[in-house]
Amino acid sequence: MEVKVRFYGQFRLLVESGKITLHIDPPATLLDLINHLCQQYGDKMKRMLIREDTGKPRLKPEVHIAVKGKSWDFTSDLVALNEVLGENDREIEVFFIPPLQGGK
Amino acid sequence: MRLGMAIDLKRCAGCYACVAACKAENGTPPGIFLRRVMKEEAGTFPRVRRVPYPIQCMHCQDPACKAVCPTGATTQRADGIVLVDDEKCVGCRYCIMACPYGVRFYHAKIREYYPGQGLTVYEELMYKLHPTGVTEKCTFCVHRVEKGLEPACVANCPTKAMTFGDLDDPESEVSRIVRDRRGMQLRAELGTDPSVFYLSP
Amino acid sequence: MALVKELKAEKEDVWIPSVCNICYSNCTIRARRVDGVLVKIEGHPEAANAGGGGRICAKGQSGIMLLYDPNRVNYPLKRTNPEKGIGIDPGWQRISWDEALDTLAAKLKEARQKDPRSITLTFSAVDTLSFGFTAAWWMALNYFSNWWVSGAGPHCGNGEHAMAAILHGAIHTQVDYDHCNYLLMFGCGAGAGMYYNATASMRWIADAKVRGMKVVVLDPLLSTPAERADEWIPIKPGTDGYVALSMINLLVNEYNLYDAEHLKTHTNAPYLIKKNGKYMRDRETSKPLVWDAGEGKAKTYDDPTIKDFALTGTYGVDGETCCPGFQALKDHVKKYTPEGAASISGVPAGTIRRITKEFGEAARIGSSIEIEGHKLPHRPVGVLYFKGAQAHKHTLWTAMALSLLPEIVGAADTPGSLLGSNPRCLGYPETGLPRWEPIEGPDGLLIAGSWIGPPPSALSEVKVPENISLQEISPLSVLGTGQPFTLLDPAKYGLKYTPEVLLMTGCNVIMTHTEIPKVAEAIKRFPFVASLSLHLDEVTEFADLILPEASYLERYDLPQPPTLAGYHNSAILKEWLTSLRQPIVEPLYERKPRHEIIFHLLDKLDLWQDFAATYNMVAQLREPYLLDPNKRYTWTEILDLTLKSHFGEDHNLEWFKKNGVIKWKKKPEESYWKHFMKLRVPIYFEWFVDLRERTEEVLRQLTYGEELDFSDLQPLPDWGPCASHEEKRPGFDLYAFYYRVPTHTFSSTYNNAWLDDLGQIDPTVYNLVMNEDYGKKKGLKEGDWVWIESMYGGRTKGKLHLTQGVHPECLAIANCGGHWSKYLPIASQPEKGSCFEWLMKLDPKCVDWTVQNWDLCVKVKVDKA
Repeated sequence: MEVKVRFYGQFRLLVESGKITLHIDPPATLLDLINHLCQQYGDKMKRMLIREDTGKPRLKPEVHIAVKGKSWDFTSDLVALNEVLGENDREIEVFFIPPLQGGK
Repeated sequence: MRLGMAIDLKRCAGCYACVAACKAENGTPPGIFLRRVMKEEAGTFPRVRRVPYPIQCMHCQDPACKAVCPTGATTQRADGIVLVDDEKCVGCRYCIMACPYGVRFYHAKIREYYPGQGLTVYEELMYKLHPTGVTEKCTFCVHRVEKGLEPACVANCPTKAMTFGDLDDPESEVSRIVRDRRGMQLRAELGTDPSVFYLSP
Repeated sequence: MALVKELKAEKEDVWIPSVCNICYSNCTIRARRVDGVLVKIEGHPEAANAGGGGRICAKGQSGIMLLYDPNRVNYPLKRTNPEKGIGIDPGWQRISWDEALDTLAAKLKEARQKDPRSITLTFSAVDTLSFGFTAAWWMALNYFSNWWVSGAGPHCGNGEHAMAAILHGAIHTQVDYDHCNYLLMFGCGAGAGMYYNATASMRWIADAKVRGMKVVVLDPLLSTPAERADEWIPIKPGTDGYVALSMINLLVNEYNLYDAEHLKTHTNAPYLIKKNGKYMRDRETSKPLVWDAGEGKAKTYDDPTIKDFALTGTYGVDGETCCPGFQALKDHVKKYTPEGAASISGVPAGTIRRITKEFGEAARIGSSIEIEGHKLPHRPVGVLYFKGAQAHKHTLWTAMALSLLPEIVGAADTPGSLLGSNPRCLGYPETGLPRWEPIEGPDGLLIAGSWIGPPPSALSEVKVPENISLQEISPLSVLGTGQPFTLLDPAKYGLKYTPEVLLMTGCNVIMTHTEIPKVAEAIKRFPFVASLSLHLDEVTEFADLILPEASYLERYDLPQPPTLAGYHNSAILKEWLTSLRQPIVEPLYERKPRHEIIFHLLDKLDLWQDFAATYNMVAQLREPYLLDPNKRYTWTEILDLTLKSHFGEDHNLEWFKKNGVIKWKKKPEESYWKHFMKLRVPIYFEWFVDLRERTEEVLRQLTYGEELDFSDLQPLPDWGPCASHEEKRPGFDLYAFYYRVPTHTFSSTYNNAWLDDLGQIDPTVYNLVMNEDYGKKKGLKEGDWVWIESMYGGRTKGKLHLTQGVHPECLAIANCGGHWSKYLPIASQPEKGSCFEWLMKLDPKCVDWTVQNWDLCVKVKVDKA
C-alpha cells in the first residue's frame, strides 16, 4: 500500500522536502511504518523517533504521530503502535515538537 | 434600618483588590481613594506583625462631618448612609477636618491619569460623576445598594472578608458576625458610632 | 447631580464574559461596556469555584488602564536610527501595515531559507494565548526550535516545576485547601494575589484559615503572604533547603513521624540501593529489588507475594550490601541537625523543632477521610515554595528537600495534602476531551502525561545543545535560559546556524533575565529584530520594526483547555472550567490581534499547511472538526471548531460568546489520582545518578562543558551555599533579593496608571525594603535615596523604606520596577522601583544548570546617593 508521510519541525532537517511516499506491504502497522522510515533514513531518524534503551521501546517525547485526528506520543508504548493502519489512513503526519499537553 | 459592614481581618489578604474595586466602580480621579487599605506594623524584629485594615467612610450614626457642614450638603439617610450633595457643597472642607478617619477627599480639579496626555475615553465618561470643588467620600455604593447589590468592595473581595447588611436587624448576617466575633469600631472612643466593624485577625 | 451618582448609558450597556490576562492565572472575568467604552471588569460569577473565584484581583480590574493607556503603540513603526543601545532613541517612524508585514515576511523568508532555526521567538509566560495557536505558528516558522521565554530562569520556578513533574505528574503544585490544616510556605506568594490561581487561592486560604488551618511562612521579608500568616519566621536567603533537610532529619530520625504505608505503596522508598547509589536489580528481569521483611528475602518491587516492604535496615543480596532507599535517606539527612540549620539560616533550632513537630503531627498519619464514597488517606499538611526559596545556586537541592518534606509524611495527592496541578484530566464528560494522565515509566515510577516539554523522568535524554537556550543539556528544566551566553559567543557554543531574526511577542527580556548590558548586547546580535508590542518598552528599543498588538481586551483566545490546563484550573476537587477570551472592544487605532498578524505572515510565507496540521494535533481536534490544511481560516472559525471538538456541537463559539464559561465536575479520580493508579514516585532519585553520567558524557564533547556544573545531580539533596554566602569583602553586608507584591505582574504593569496609584499606598511596592535597625546604624532614614552596588559590580538606585519586617541582613527589591523607556512616562519616573537585574552577572557560575535556574541572591553595599 501507498502511504504519504509528512514531516514537521526538525524532521525537515533530515527530510528536506517534508513529504515522502512509502510503499509498505499490507496489513501494515504504525510500527512497520516507523521501521520503514528508520531503514530509509538510517540511525539519525531512529534516534529522533524512538527510544529503545529502556526495556520498553517508546516514541521520543518530542515525537507525535497523527492520522486523521488520532495521535500517538510517548505516552503510548509501542504495543499501541501495532495498531493496523486502515484503508483510509494513507496520510500520516510526523511531528517533532515538545509535548505541550499529553494524552491521546 | 442601619446599613453597615463587618470587615474580617482574619480573611483579609491585604491584596488591595477592594481599593481597585472601589476605583473601578466609581471611576475616581487620580489620588482619590474612597477606600484604602492601611497596614499597621507592630513589634520588633523578629517578632513583628503587620495587619492590613481597610478604611473608608464609616457611615457613623453620629457623623462629625455632618455636624460641621455649613450648607447641609452632608446628609444621612434613614438607612444610615451618609452622603454629600455636591449641588449644596461649597467646598469649604470643614468636613475633611472634622472626619476622624481621614476618608473624605476634596476634588479640586480634573486631573488626568496619564499626566499631560489628556483624559482617556474612560475618564471622560466617568469624571462626569466627579464634579470639582466639592468633597467626596464612600457612599456604600448607594447606587448599587438601591438595586439590591452589595457595595463594590464587598462584592469583589477575593477572600469574602466583608459582610454588608442591616445592623439594626439582629438576625442579619452582619449583626450576627459582629456579635459573635465581637466586632470593634475604629476609634470608638470618639463617640461617632461608626457602622463599620472590624473583626480581629 | 445630587446624591446618587451613577453612570447612565445613552445607547448601550452590556456585560461581556471573557478571560483576564494581566498575569498568567487567566481568571474568568466579565466586562461592562457602556456606549462603546470599557467601564468595568469584574470576576465572572459563574467561575466561583475555579478560574478567579468569581472575583478579581487589583491587577485584573486595572485592565481598563492597559486598554486606554495613551502610551500604547497604535501604528506600525520602523527604526530610522541604525545605532542601537540602552537609552538610544530608535527614531521611530510610522509606516503602513502593508509595509510592516512585507518587511517582516521578507526577513523571515530569507532567514528560513538559511535555516528556520535562525529565527528566535520570544514569549512571556504572563502572556497566555492558546497553546495550540502558539505551538502551531512556532512549528511553522522555526520548527519550534528557538524561543526565549522571558523570565524563565530568573522569575519562573524551574526547580519546583521539575519536582512537580517527578513527584506529582504536574507542572506545578497547589494545596488541597479544602482539607488542609497546616501549611508551610517558603518564599512563595500563594494566597496574596500572586502564585497560581492568583485570585481564587486567596479565598481558598481564607476559608481554610477560618476553618482552622495554620499558615507558617518562612521568608526573609514580612511579605504580603507572611503578613497574613499565623506565624512569620524570618530566614536568611538561600538557606531554605538546609532548614527543610533538618526537618526531614527530625521527622525520620528523631520523631518517627513518617508515613510508612505511603512510602511502601506509593514511592520507591523500599527499593534496595547498592553502595554505588543505584538500585539492586533482579538478575533476570532487571527490575529493582525490595526486601520482603515478611519472608526475609529480596523480591522484585512488583512481586504480588510481598508481605511487608522493608523500609529500614541493611541487607545482603547477591553478595552485595544494600539498603532500602528510605534507609539511605535517613542516613543521608543525619548530618542536617536543627542546630546546624540554625547557624546557617538564622532560624532558631527550637523553632525548627517546634514547626517540624507541628507539621508531622498535623499530617495525622494513619487517618483517613471519606470523599464521595471513597475512603482515602487524610494528610492535611502542605509545603509550598517558589521563587524566593529556589532562586539560588542550588535550586535543585532546595527543590528536592522542600518537595520531600510533604512526601515522607504521605502528604501527596491525597485529601488535605499537596496536589499536582493538574496531573490527570479525564475530559469533558460528553467528549472525553481534553484528556491526559501520568503513565508508568521505568521501574514503576510515574512520568507526567502533561507538561511543557518532555517531562523529566528516567527516560529524559541529554543532547548536545543545538538551540540557543541550551535546554537540551538540562532535561529537568522546563524552559532553557542560556540565550545570552550563546548569542554573545555562538562559535564557543557551537551554533550550527547564525541567528538572523528575533521576533518578540509580549515580553521584556532585557529587564527580566540577567545582567542588563550583556542581555542588550545579546539582542543586538540579531541583524533584524521585530516586536509585536503593547508598549514601546525597554526591549523594543532594540527593535527594527514594531507591530502594534491588540491587548487581551481586544481579541479572541482560548488560553485554558483544550490545551494545557495547569494555570487556570484548580487542583482542588472542585470544577474543571474553560472560558473564552473575547474582545470587549474592537482593536483600537491600528492595533491588530496577534493571531491576525501571524496569519498574514503564514499567508505570505506559504506556511498554512504546517500551521493547520500542528494545530489539529496540539489542540486535540477530532473529526469532523479538523482543520483542512489546504484551507485558510479566520481565528474565530478555528476557535469554533476547537470548542465544538471538545464540548460538542452545541457548545460552539456563539454559545461561548454568550455564556463565556463551561464547567464540569472534577472527580476524586482526578484530584486524588494517586489512589486510583498504580504508580510510584521517587523519594530516592536514583535515576539522577545515570542522568549525571550521561550529562557528563555530553559535557565532555563540549568546548564549554567544564563551565556547566551538574554535580548537584545526585539521588538525595544536600545543601550548598550561594556565591553571596561566601562574599566577605567589607561593606558588602546585605543580601539583596527579589520579591513580588499583589499589585504588579513582573515588569509588565508599571505603566498602568491605576496600579501605579495603588502602588503608592503601600511603601513596600516601589521602595527598597531595609531593616530599620540596620538603617539607623548606617545613618539612613526612611525615604533616603541610595546606590546599591552588587558584589558583581552592577549598580542601581532606589529609595528606602525602613521597617522591622525584614531580616536585618537583607535588602528586598520588589518586582521589576525601575523602567527607563521614555515611552513609559509613568513607569520611568524615578520613584517607581528598581530593577534587580542590574545587580546580576552573566556568568555560568550564577546558574544551577541542572534546572537552568538563576541565582538571584546577591550581596550588596548600600550608600546614600
